Amino acid sequence: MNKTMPQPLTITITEDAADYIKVFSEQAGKPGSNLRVGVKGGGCSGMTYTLDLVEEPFDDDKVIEEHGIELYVDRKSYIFLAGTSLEYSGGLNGKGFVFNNPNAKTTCGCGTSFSV
Amino acid sequence: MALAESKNSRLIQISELESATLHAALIDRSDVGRLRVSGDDAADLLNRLSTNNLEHLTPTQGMGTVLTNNKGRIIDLLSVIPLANSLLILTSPGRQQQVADWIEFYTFVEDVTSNDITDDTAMIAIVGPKSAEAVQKALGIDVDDLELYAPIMVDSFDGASLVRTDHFNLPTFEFIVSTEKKDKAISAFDQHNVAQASSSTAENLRISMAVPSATGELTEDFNPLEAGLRPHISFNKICYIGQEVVSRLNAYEKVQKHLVKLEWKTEDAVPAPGTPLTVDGKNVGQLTSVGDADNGLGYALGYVRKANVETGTSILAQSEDGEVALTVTGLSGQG
Repeated sequence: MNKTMPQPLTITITEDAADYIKVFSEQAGKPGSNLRVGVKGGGCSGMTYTLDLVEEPFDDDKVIEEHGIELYVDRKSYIFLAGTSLEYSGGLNGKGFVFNNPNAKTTCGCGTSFSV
Repeated sequence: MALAESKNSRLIQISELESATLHAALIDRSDVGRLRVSGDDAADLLNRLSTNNLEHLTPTQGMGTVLTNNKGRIIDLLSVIPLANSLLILTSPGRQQQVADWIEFYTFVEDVTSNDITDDTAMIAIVGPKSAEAVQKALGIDVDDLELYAPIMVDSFDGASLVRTDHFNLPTFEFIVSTEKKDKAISAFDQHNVAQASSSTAENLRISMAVPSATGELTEDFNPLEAGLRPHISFNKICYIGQEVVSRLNAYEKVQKHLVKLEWKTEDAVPAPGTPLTVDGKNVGQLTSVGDADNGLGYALGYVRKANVETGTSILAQSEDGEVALTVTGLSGQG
């Protein structure tokens, strides 16, 4: 019988999303920036995602490095984001950055907020 | 003897109720929850959690707003009042911890701190058409032009706050003082013949003036549109928790029931809160608050299906002593 080991929950970023952040940070005049991701109260369903280009983490942030980008997440947001994959969907029909969050039980009609 | 005492107590209550509705009366509302919420992000966070547009808060102008859950149901009705370096939030009696917990849950990296000051302060309401005159006489402050939720400091009471809320759908001034100054505050009004009304009179006044309360109307069973809280809802603000549901109910006119004022004749039996309401044998709602009988009439509040909320509609409630015929006398939130 094959046993699969449980994977530790973390936040991941796809290669496409990481590449786009590098391009975007250049365009924004902040080359080499990293990404602060988080959650804040509000939005129709209770919580909305936040994304900011930053240089350094805060003292208590969790730091995750993938595809040449560092993600900084505050401890409380991490509880609601563990297991999330940050993806990027470009092009004319693209949605931009998408949080594929397994903790989200419901999302609002426009998809920008969620509840757990 | 007991009958005489009961009659006397009723007469006193009627006189207290008349004081509030015709003159001015003092009501001890110290059981109302009081939170001092401070921090640079306090107003922004509350704006993301509640129905009114708190972007319009100014250092001198507060407002009422409703905390709702993600189903658009009522957590609590709040009065948000700006003070020098913080916001004073009035919650329903006993709800302050729940509201503080709700704010705490949705605080991530924001600079927001809540302190429960309910036990450190007292709150007395001066209620009635002549309440501004009573405040002028007792505190020496002209409040004729004081706007709703705009606080003023009362220096003679060491920085106590006075704010007009019209909580009872009558001119209502809330005087918030330290607990040590409570007796002095009551005495200041007593000296000008503003008598203190009992808690049962206050409850009868609330019900007769169709003011929703956490004891029956402001619960997670109902949404703010059903409860008549439309004046505390902005339909053109940023997203808040529950907005999608509240906005859709409003835009598509899908509100199914409304909080209504009801009256019944006191010769009838007394119905109890929670009693189902029927029309032609069909369930149309439920009673949520029932007042004592006064001047031959009893007052009650209840949620009733929108097809049956027209003024004058007759509705039946079943009580232990038989059927009670009630009449709808208006919607809550519409004066």
